[in-house]
Order: sequence, then structure tokens, then C-alpha cells
Amino acid sequence: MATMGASDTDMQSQQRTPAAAVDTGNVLVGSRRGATMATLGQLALSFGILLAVWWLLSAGIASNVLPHPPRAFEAIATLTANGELPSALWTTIPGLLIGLFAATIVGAVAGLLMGLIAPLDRLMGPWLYVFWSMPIVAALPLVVLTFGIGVEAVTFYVFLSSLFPVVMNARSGAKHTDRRLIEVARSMGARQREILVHVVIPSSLPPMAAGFRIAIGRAVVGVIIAQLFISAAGIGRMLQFYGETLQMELYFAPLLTTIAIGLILNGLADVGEKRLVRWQET
Amino acid sequence: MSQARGVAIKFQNIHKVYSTSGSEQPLHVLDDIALDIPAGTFCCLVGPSGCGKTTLLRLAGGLIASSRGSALLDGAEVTGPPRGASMVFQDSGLFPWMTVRDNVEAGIKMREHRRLTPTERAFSQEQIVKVGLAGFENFYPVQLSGGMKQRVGLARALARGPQVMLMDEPFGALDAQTRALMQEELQQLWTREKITVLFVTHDLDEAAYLADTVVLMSRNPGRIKSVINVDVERPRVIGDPRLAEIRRAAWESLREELQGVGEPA
Repeated sequence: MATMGASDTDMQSQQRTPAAAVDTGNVLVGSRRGATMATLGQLALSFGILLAVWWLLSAGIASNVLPHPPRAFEAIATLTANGELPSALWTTIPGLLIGLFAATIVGAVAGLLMGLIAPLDRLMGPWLYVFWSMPIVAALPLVVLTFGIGVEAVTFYVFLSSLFPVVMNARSGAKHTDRRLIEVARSMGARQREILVHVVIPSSLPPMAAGFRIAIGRAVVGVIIAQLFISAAGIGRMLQFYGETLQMELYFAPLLTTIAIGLILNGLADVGEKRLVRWQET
Repeated sequence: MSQARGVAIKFQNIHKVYSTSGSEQPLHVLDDIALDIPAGTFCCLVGPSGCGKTTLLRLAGGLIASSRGSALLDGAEVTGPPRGASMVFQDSGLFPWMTVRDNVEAGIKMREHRRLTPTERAFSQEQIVKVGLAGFENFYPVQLSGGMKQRVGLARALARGPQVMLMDEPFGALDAQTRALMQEELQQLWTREKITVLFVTHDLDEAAYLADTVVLMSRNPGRIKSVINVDVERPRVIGDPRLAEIRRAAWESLREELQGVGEPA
């Protein structure tokens, strides 16, 4: 079978013969490793400065508010050793993850359906703006009345906090699916289900990933608020207790832990997003 | 493959009317189009924008329905996207989230509603090689140039083993050199495969170079104005004076059209 000319101008101009691609691949790997080192360096510098400022403030004007950093880290060790911090985490993490996970699934399905089915969207679209405008914290009494003050209430509050960004973005992703690509799939004989699975969902993944990222932030805030106001347990209770009793070293342990949870979830989201939307890289 | 002397695509007195909202007149896009395209020939549809050439192509592809009259592919009335037809689109229409290989295989997968058989996979791979993209199977569209994307679109169309290829200005968005190159390669490919091609373009040179018959259309309403046979043996050379003569004749015919109606905004 004869081939169309492989060394034509548009390929040469792109330097995209397979051999070149392999080379480029190696260079990319190399530069990626370099980039990772540079990123780590920048991160170290960034956190270093933050720590230095904290240190200076705690030694100077803010000494009655901010604990001395080594003592704060000591407190983390102490609270970990005596089991208080691990047990608080154990009370907090499941509600956080289950609420966030449920919000992601329910939000993605609801958002995609709304984006795809116009009558449904006309019916439910306005509700979205109502819930988007409502401070979720204002719904606390309703959550307590419905779910009590246990872990179910906390989980549901996390779910409520993180639901709407996912719905909004999934809906917008489905709505803005390139109609030409839907038509391409139709011209091939694709069924509705295939168009959904092979066109609409993949094309909605980038906005959904962005929505998930917002949801993470809201879920972390949500779990702390729920523990502060509803169930007086876990990390939220530690924050409240040590804050009100002005034990600032001990107070900083749950605070730093909360920050760490957020950072870890965002890091995981980064990794997941890179794998899911590889095709977007340029 | 299609029968030797049969008619591959038949348009039977096609009308297409779009009813516009409000007090405006309904838009008569196609008016009584009758056209036979013999199997194994290359037909170019040419005309000013708004003459309905793309509409006619989409009718043959089963993407839209006519208001009156019917399109037949290999004798069967088109009621939905036909199994034996492949479409190639101007913007390549590749799925950005699929690799070159997955894009090429999608054309079969979405028709058969199942995974590919080993034979089909091998045939898809052959088409990738045929359009000169061996080694790029795992690339994503974003990593390819415009010309390469069109090659993938072509491979995807060929992988379906079509009787008919419906091509909607496939080279319209390419730069002039790449376009000339793609035209040459399409000619070579077509000479080997002998698939019936319906090719929409507004480039008269392209039409004269590629086609057995150039169908000129007029607009408001969209009608067939004239049909020019290009009796120049292949392989043709870009710049052949006989092709230039065809182009001139086609332009004469089109110019009347453009001057007569004027250019609406």
C-alpha cells in the first residue's frame, strides 16, 4: 500500500516526524524534572518566608496571639502522641470525604442532566441561583433539625457546601459541548448514549474539574463550620476549645492540620486533573 | 465496493425550506435539486456562500431531512446517517480527548456500537499509515498541525470502508501550500481507492483539479446552475492549462451569479 508523502511541508515545518517526537519527549521529561525542582525550590522559598514572618511576629508585636513556631510544632507532636489529634481527624475526615464525594457524584449527574435537557434546565436553573446566593451557613438550623447533631449532620452540611460549584460547572460544560462534535458523532451513526459518553462527558471534564476544586475548598470550610456549630467534635471542636481558652500553641495544631488537609486534597485533585484532561496540554 | 456503472448518490427533486420566525419569508435554501453522481466519480459542489451546497451535503449524510424530495445512496433512501458514507469536515471534527488512533477507530465504533475486531483495528492502522501518520497514533489533536488533523479526518473516513465520502470544504482552513499538497495527495488516494466523492468547496481551482464533474450552484434559492465535465486524465498537474480553462468557464458562470444578486451583508 503506497503512502501519502510522509515528509511534506506541514510536517517538516512542525518538526513532528516520529523521531523528532521521541527526542522532544526526552527533552520534555528532562525539562519537566527541571521544572519540578524549580517548583519545589519556589515552594520552599515561599513557605520559608511565611514561616520567617510568623517567627518574627511571634517574637515581636504579636507574641500574645501567635505562638513561637517550634512550640506550635511541638504541640502537634504532643497532641498526636496523646491521641487527641488522630481521634479528631478520625471524626472529621470521613464526613469530609463522604460529603465531598457525594456532592461530586450528585452534582456531576444533576449538572450534566440540566445541561443536556433544556426543559429540566428551565425548571431547575433558577433554583441553582437561589442556592448559589444563599450562604449555606444560614441553613445550619435546618440541617440540625433534619439530621440532629451527629456525624450525619456534618456530612450533609459538607455535601451541601460543596454541591453547587460542581452542579454549576457540569451544567455549563454540558451546555457548551461543541455542537459540531456532536454532529460528527451523529454522522458516524452514534446513539444518544454514545454521544453522552464519548462527546458530552469528556468535553465537560475540564469545567467539572474546576468545579471540583472549588468544592474542595468549600468542603473543608464546611466540615469545620459544621463541627464548630453543630456537633462540637473533631478538628472544629479543638479549634474552638483551644482558641477560647487561649492556648495558642495547642490551637495552632488543628489550624495547621486543616490547612494541610486542604493542601493534600488540592494536590490529589491536581494529579487527577492532569490524568483526566491530558489531551488539553499544549 | 459499489457497482461499476451505477449511480452512487442521487438527489431527487430536493427542496429544503427553513421557516424563519416572525414576519420574514421562509428561507428557500434548496430549490428542486436533481443530480446523479455515478459510482466511483469525484463530484465538486461549488457556489457562493448561502447557495446551499453544505446543506445538500448534510442531506446526503443524513444529518438533516429535506422538506420535499429525497436523497438516495446506492439506491436506498437516506433517512439517517448511512452506514456506507463517511463525512470529512472543514475543521477536521476530531475529538480533542481522543488520540489519533482512537479518533480513527471512533468512526467504526460509533457505527457498530461495539469494540473493534482485530481486523478492523488493523484496517484502521492501515489508513493511518496511508495518510502518512504512522508514528503519530498516540498523539492528541492539539499536538498536530492543521494539515495533519485533516489527514486524521481522512483516515477516519477511510477506516469505515465507505462507498461514499462526503467532504465539506476539508482544506478550506489550510494555508495555500498545505492545501495544494493535500489536494495532490487526495488525488493520488482517490485514484487508488475509487470511492465516490461529493466534495464541497468554494475554490474553483480546487474543484477543477479534483473533480470529474463540477456542479455550479446559484443562491436565493439554491439551484443547480450548470454542470461542467472535466475530461482531463489523471494524474493531473496543478496549473495544467486545460484545468485553467475549466476554471475560467466556471468563473464566468459564477460571476454572473454574484453580480446578478449582489452581496448581501
